Amino acid sequence: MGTGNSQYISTFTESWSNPNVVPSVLDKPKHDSLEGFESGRQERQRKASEEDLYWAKIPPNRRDYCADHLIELQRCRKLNYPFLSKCEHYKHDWDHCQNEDTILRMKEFERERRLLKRDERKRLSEEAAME
Amino acid sequence: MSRLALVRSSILYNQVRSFSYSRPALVFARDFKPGEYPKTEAERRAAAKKYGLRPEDYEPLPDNGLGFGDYPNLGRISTDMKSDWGDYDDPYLKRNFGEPIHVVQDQITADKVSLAKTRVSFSQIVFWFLFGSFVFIGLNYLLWDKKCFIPIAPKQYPRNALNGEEKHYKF
Repeated sequence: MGTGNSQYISTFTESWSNPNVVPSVLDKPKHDSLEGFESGRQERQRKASEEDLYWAKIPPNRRDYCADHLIELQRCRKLNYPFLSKCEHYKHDWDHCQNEDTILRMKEFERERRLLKRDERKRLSEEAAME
Repeated sequence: MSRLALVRSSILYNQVRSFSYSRPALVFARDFKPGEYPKTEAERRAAAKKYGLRPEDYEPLPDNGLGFGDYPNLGRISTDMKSDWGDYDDPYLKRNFGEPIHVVQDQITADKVSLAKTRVSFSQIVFWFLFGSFVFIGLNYLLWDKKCFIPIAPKQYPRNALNGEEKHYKF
């Protein structure tokens, strides 16, 4: 946060002055997910089935796209208790998956933000052209 | 103002104690109750001798309804203001034999109320408290609708993509 323009802070300070340029943190994005992708996008796959999740007793807030790694981790921990340091490999896999997921969320936010800024620019240029 | 509070609370304490069932009715034990406020010079000298003071040192509390009769006024000095290194007969009260006891001594022992001048006056305390509270409330009022957040999209759960309305993609 040392140098001049910190986008972390400018994101929410912009939401105070110009709220229709900042994407929502809670709602779904307004723009279509496939807009601008000529060759389409890969869908995210979930490898663990509902039944696996049920029998592994994974809580609902953890039933995301990394749940299969979590099931393997829990299984390893249950088998090796109390020597939990033996499960570092599975833990690293799950952590890596969560990290990728977070980065993907950041990218989604940034994409939505740029699309909103583009819309704003178009709107302003149209208004300037009308006058 | 706080001296007034001490004197009045001392009277209240005595009154409360006199109404309790575990203590005798008179708090000033009958033999030790202070006499009337001295009006003549002879009465003053007799009172000074009674309390173990020199007549020129003896000064009773003023007779304005908040006094204690002829009990002397020993000044705004509490036990913790007295020297710790003096050689006292009674180290807890920091008192030697025969020395007169302050009227509210039970409240101003070293582990209770101190009569020393405070570094921060009461008006300063009130001012800074009100200042801080108004600043806090004011900031809340002005910034209530202005939120800070982590700039990240909401988490994607597969259960929301199964019915086909929402679709989750990679980049």
